[in-house]
Amino acid sequence: MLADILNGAYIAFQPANLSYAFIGAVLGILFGALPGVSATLGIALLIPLTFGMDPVPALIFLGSVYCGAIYGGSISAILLNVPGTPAAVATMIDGYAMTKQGKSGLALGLATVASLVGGVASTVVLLVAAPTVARYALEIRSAEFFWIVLFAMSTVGAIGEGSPAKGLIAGVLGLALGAVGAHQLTGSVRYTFGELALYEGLPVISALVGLFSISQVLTLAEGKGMDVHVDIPDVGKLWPGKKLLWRLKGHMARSSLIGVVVGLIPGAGADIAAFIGRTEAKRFAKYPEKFGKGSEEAIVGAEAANNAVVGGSLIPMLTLGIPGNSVTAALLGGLLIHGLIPGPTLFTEAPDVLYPFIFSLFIANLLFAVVAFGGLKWIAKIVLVPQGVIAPVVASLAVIGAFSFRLIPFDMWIMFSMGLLGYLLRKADYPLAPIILGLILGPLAETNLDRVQTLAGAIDLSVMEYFFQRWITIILMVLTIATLAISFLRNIKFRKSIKD
Amino acid sequence: MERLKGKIPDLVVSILLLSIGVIGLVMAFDFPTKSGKWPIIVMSMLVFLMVLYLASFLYGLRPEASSSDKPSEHGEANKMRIVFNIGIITFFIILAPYLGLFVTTALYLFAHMLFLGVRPVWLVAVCSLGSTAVIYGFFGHLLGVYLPGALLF
Amino acid sequence: MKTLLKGLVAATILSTTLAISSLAAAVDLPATIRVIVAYNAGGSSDTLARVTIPRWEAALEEITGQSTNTVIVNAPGAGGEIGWTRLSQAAGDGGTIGVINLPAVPLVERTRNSAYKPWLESFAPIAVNVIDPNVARLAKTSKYKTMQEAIDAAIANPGSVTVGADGPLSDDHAAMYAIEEATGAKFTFIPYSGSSAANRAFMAGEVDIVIGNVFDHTKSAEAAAEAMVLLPSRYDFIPDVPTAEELVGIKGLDLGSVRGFAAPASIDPELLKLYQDAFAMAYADEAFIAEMRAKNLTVVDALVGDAFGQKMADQEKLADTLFPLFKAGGYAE
Repeated sequence: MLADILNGAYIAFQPANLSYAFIGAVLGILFGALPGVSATLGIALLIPLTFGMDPVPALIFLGSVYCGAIYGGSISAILLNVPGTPAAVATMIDGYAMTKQGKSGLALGLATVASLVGGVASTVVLLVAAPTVARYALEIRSAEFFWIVLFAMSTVGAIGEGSPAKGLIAGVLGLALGAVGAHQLTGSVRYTFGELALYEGLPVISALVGLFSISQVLTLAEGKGMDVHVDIPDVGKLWPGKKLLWRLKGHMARSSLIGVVVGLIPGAGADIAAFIGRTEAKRFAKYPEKFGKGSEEAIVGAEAANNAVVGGSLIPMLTLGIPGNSVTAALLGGLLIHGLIPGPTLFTEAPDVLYPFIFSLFIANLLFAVVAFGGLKWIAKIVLVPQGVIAPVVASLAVIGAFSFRLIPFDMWIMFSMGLLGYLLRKADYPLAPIILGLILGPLAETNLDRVQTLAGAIDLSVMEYFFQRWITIILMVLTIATLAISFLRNIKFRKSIKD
Repeated sequence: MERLKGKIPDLVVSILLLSIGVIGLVMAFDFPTKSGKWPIIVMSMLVFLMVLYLASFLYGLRPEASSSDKPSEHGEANKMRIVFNIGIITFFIILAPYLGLFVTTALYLFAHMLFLGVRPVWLVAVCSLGSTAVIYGFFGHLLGVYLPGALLF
Repeated sequence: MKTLLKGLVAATILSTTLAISSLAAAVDLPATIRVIVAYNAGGSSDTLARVTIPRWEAALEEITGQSTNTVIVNAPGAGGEIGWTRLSQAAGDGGTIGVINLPAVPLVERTRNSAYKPWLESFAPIAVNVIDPNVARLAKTSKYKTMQEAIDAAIANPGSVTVGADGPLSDDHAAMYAIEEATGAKFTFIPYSGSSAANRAFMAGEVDIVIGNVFDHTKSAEAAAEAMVLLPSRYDFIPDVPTAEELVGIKGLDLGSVRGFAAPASIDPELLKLYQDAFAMAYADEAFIAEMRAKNLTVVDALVGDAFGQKMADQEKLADTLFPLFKAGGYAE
């Protein structure tokens, strides 16, 4: 165990891996800072770049992109009042207010330090907690796993952004799309219309790339292409000063904790963590009246929380194979391509890949801070690239990525049709992340349910009776039903709030 | 018609998802029993949710319901523009297997950027060729992603 | 330096054992040889190809004096069908060979009417030196104390004993039917996606028996009450595991996952011969075999050319015998 961790550190610090982490962090910041390219999309577009790499550098690269992208979103939020990623919306309000007061450097500096603290703290939690969780997860049986999956799906309606009803519908649509392909148990094919490329279901990576990129490209392309926002204000000095940071330490600690916990919950992502982090910071703030008008506490509270999600969200993904949000879903796709099947056995079977990966997250966090303090002035220029250039480049990366995944031309069409579907859904204000969750979790739910049915049959029980055999299963069932009830209540509230 | 304003995408999506659910459900009954069970469950859920949603949607359209819904922010986008954007990517994917990915990517980038109003033209040319070169430099050479030669050139 | 040494060793073996130089001069090597692996990167078939192919390439160059380039192409999907279909349809110019996995190839062919049907006429055998035998194990958590007791229960009360394995249509799944066929027992098959998932369920006490391969056993030996290897004699990687005959008296089992190299049947016969010789040369290198063992590849005595063809014919017979059981289990139409 300790030997695995030390070995992981050793591998992560190899010069080659350091350089992958560096490139990943820089690309992550750039993609994150680009308005319209979210962390999810960034990872999805960059996964094809890792096809030719070994698993360790590939994961290090993708993990660094994740860290960098979540942080990078705050750059355009602060400077331009445009969130680079949804996670940066909470930062935007006060960050842009500070920019208008000519304190953009301070805002960026605070965001950088808070992101660093949140990121490192959550990585520590990941390093300590994940192997323990994995050890317990070894005991999980098919019946429990089935309910864990259902629970993850039910949180989509209870926690996600916007209309809970639409969240649930999107999740169920994902489950429906997940039913495409050969039935795992019997191999009989469903909904493939004779297309061999669909035999193993919709390829997750191509579907994800299409859903997030093409829909975004079409949205971007609605406007005129040369709409470059504004000139970037002069950034100035970034370092906020020791005294100020020391005063804000409590907010950083609290928000880090919030971020980790939110990350653990399936269905919630960095955007929600940032909002909770900001709200809680306000409750404990020294100057709550400054919130919305350029509060340092607000920025720190939001940024520490959204970066702390990274470590938290990786725990269920690595130990159970359940991605909590769309970014980890994309990362999960990256793992699968390299033959690593996330789940409790991963920690015992591939410690030589996992621990270097976890260590590289420390490195990635340090690196983005170094990059930020060293060259933010130049990085911020990325937001000057006109959308008319970004949109076609993103589309071409999506097409090439979809093709290079399996070298099947049909995958380009799968990607594109998912993109058109995503565009329509986006127009109708549906969230897209639940679709990907459903697509990944649907087959998991089905195979586990199939197994439960066969196992129950072998001891002459019905499926329901089998579920009531173990306490953990019963608890999970109750949790799932409770979450669904919460979504239902939230939907009633949501509809009222629209009416008023 | 007036009451539908800004809600058309919602209606279209609802009908689309409902039809996916219904068709999926009908097909699922033809699958061998063991493999049809899960699709039937999932498709029924989709149909059920969509019927509920459509019902509440239509209920919200009745005259006395105040139309205080926020107007759709993307309602004004030019429809022809969207169709053209979709068309140009479609062409990209159709042509790729014939002309090779490398050439098609460059052509596509040039055409789409031009259409989106990036000017001057020399900038478009530089951007499209530059991006293509960077993409392929990364894929083919730096990272060794295997792209079949026949498709490349 | 290392490769140079290996080359020298190979050259010595070449000069002493094979007289092929006259033949080699007659054919031209393709500039690029693609090696199709029908599974994901990182899997056991992929590892096999990545370890073996560079040695084979060196041997080819050694024999012919020409240079060539090998690329490993992972074409996963449809339980291997996509990759094998591609291999069977590739041109016969020697530019494409691949890894075929038995008994998966004939089983998939039967269940789905694959494009490479009939497989024996679609693939030309090149060589194999990796066969991963099946190991069946009884869980400590099971209510049955011995393997014999579990098999007796499955005979007396059909379907009451659960057997977990990678599947369906895997070599492990086939092994379960072979045991049924030999004993008259009837198990309930619980498929898992991958043998490590099956192993986990075995440790968590979800199934009574698990069937896997050699390294599945070594990974979780402590969870097994009893284990047996489904071979006529004990296997040298796990010498303390008894055979099925020793443990429960089932005779004549010879089951495992065969991972060999094959070419499309249309391949030029001279090139085929050359490819076979190059594999023979690579396999003859002791240092290379040691390297394979170190990478957990279950090396057996090499079968080259017709010898591998014979193995393929055996697997066809096995698939013929077991297929009705797959059908009865609902795994094929």
